[in-house]
Amino acid sequence: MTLTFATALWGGFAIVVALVGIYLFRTRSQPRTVGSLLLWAEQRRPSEGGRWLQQPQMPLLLALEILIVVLVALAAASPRGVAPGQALPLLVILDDSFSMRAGEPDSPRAQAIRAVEAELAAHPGYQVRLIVAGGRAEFLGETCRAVAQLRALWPLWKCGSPAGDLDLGVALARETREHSARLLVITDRAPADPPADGRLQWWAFGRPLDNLAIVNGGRTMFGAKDRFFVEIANLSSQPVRVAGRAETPVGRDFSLDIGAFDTRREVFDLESATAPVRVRLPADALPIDNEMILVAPQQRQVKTAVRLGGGPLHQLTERALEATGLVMAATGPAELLVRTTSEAPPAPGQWVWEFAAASDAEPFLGPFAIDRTSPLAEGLSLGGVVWGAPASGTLRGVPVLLLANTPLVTEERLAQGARRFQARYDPRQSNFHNTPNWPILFWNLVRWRQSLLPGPAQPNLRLGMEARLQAVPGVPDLRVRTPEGETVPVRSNGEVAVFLPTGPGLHTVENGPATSTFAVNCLARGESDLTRGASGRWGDWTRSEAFRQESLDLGWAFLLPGALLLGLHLFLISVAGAGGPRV
Amino acid sequence: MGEAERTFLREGEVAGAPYLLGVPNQLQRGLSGTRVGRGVGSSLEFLDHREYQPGDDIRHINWQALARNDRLSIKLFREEISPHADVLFDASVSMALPGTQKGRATVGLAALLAKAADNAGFTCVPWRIGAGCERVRNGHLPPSSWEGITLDHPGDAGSALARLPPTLRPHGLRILVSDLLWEADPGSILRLLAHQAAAVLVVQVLALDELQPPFQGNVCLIDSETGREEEVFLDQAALARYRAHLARHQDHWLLACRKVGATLVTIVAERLVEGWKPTPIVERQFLSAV
Repeated sequence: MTLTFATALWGGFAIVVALVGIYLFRTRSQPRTVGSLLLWAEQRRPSEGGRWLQQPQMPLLLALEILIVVLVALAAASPRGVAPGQALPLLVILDDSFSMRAGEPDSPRAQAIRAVEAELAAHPGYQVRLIVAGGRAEFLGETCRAVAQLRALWPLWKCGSPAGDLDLGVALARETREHSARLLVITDRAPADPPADGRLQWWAFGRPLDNLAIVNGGRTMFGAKDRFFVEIANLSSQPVRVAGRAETPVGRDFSLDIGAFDTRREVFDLESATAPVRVRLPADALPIDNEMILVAPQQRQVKTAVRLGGGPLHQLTERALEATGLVMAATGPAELLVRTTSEAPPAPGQWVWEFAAASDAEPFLGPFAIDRTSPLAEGLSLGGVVWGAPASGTLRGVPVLLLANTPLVTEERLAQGARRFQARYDPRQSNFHNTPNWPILFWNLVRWRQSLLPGPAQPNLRLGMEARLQAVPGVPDLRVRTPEGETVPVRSNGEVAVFLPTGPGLHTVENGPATSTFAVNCLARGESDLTRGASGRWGDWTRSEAFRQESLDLGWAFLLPGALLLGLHLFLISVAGAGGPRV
Repeated sequence: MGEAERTFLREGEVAGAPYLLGVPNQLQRGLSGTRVGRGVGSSLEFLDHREYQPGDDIRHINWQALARNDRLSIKLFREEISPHADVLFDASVSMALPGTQKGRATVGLAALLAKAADNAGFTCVPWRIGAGCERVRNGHLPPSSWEGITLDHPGDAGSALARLPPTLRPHGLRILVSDLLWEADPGSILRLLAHQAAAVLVVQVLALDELQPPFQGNVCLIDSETGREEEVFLDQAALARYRAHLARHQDHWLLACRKVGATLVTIVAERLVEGWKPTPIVERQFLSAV
C-alpha cells in the first residue's frame, strides 16, 4: 500500500495532538479547598481526565475521536495499492561498468542483485526485463517472473565495460515498452539530477573507495628496439608510493610516488621484441584495473611483386616500394602485385595495381579531382603536376583521381578481399613521379595493404573497443580464445570480422593456419575513480500517472469505518446528553 | 496571632458598639448581681403586692396592710441579677477557608457579640474551640485585646466540644459560632450548651462559596481540616445535590435546636463583613440597638 499524499498523515497527527491537548486541559481537575467533604459525599467520580500525576485514562469518546481522525487522515492520504496478482512490467537497467565490481565480494553488483531479488519477491506481480547498459544497451534474457529466473541471468551481467551508458539504457527502455512500465536503474553512483517523472527509480549501491589504477599504456617498436609505457593514477585523496612489477623477460620492479588524484608515467625499454609483457599493481578495491598486458606490435612486411617489363615505370615503382621499408619481395603469391593491365583476375586477397597502356597520352596540368576519402589520396597535392594520360577513356572501378571527367586512378573491390587499382600514367609526358607525390602514393598503397593483412589490426586494445580481425583470404571463419578459456567463433564477411571483447586479457585468434594475439586492458580512468561512489534510492514510482491508473484507491477502506465510528460517536454523545451514562 | 486576626477583632468590636446583647421573649436570668432583672428579686426597688402564700419569705410581709385590713400580703421587689454570656467560636481551619471572608466574619462576629454583651452589662467569657474548649487569653478585656484566637485547628469543633467541654456558668446565654460542618450528632452538643442555660444561640457562619459553589467540571476537592482529597465531576445536577445536602444538614441542626430550645441563625460571611450588620441575629432579638 502506498500513500499518495503522505503529508495528510502529518495533518492528522497534528489534529490528534490538538485533540489530546484539548482533552487534557478541558478535563484536568481543578484543586478546590472546601470546609469539609461532608456535604460532597455521593458525588460521582469523573470518568475522564484527572490531575497530572494520576494514571492516564482513556475515555471512550476520546478514543473514538482519535480513531476517527486517524482513519480520516489515512483516507485523505489517498492510499493506493496494487492487487497481488496484477502484472507490473519492470525494466531494470543494469550498469555494466567494471566499477560495479569494486570491493568484492560485497560489491555494488552483489548488493544490487540482492535488492532486485528482494523487490521481486516482495511484489510477485513484477514482470522483469533486464537491460545491460555498457558501451551500448541491450536486453538480457527473457522476461522474468520469479527470482529463480533472475538468478539464471545474473551470470550474464559481467560488469566488464569501461563505461556504463545508463542514458542509453533508459532510452532503450522507454522506447521498447509501453509507458506504464516502471524503470529501475541499478548503478553505483548518484544521479546527476534526481528522477522526477515518477516512472524511474535510481538505486545506487556504491561507496567512496581509494583505488590505484593503470589508466593508460602503449607499446611501440623503434626499429629492432621495443619500448612500452604505463600510466598509473592515484585515485585517492592521499599521496601513495606504488610498488609495481613489469613482467618482462628479465622482470623489472618499479616504485612511483604519486600525489593525490595524480598520474605518473613510467617508460620501459626492451632490447628486442619479446612476448607480451604484463604490468601488475598491488591488490586494492578494484583488481580489474591493476594489470595491463601489452602485445608487441607486429612489423608485418607486405609481399610485393612488380611486373612492368623493366621500363622506367618499373624502376620508379620498385624504388617507391622499397622506400616505404614495409615491403619484401614475394617468393610465392604476392600480396601486392604491380603490373600492366591484364584481364587475369587477382588471386583471393591479392591487391593488384595495374598501369594501363597510354599510347595516345597527352600532358595535362589539370584540372584534377581527388577523392579525399580514399586512403590512397592522403597527403597528395597535385598543384604544378603534369600528368600524361589519354584525354578520354574509362577505367574499371571507382575513380580516386580524375582529370576533369576522365579517370586517372580507380579502385575496384573484388571478392574474397581482392582489389584492383588501375592507373593511366605515361612517365614520359609527366612529372608526377618527380614530385613527392609519387612516394606518397605508394606509401599510402603499401600502408593500406599492410593494415589489411590477416590478423588483428591493433595488438593492444582498450576494453570496450572492437577488435577488427582481418581474415585469411578464403578462410572466413575465425575463432577467438578469450582469457577465460572460452572459444568464440567469429565469422567474417570474407575480409574482416569484428569481435567485441567482454573482458581484459590476452586473446588468441585462430584463422585457418594463422594464429595471432591481441591484448585487451581496462584503461578507463572515469570508471577506476571510485571516490564518486554513492548509495541511495531516488525517485518514486507512486508519483506517476501510470501508478494512479494501475493501482486501486483504498481510501474507502478507511473512510467507511471512520464514518461508522463517527455515527457511534454521535450516538454516545446523544445518549450522554440525554442523561444516560457518562462516557 | 497574626495582624489579620487583630484587625478582625477590632472590626468586630467597633461593629458591636451599637448593639446590646439580650435574651428574647423571656426573663433574663442570672446570678445575683447589680442589674435589675425582669423577675422578682430582693432588690430595694418595689414592684408589687400580692397575696401571701405559704413559703413566702415572712420578712416581706406587709405588716401595715395586715394592720389595716387584717389580710396577709407581701411586698414584691424587683430582682437584681448579673447576666452572663459565653461566646464559643469554632477555631478549626475550615473557619478560615481560603479565598473567602469566613475567618474574618467568625472572629469579627465573636468580637461583636462580646462587645454587645458588654454593652448590655453581661459578663462575657469567650471560648476558643480548638483541640478542646479553652478560654481565650485576655478574654476579660475588650475583644481587641484577646490573644490566641488563630483559626488553625485541624479538626472539627463537634469532637472538640465532646472531648473537652467548657465549664459554662449557669443561667447564662450561650452563643456558638461555627460552620457546623461536622458529622457528630448535634443533639449532644446542643444539650451540653442548653444545660442550665438562659438561652442558646447557634450562629452558623458560611462562606458564599459554600452556599453556592462557583466551580464545575472536574474538581479535586480538598478538605481544609483533614487534607483529604476527593475527585468529583460537578455539573448542575451535582451542585443541586450539594445544595440539597446542605439544606438537609441545616434542617437537622434546626430540628435539634428546637428540641433544646436553642435558636439557629445562618450568616453569610461575605454579607456580614460588607457592613457588619448582623441582621439575622437582630431579627431573632438577640441583639438590639443601643
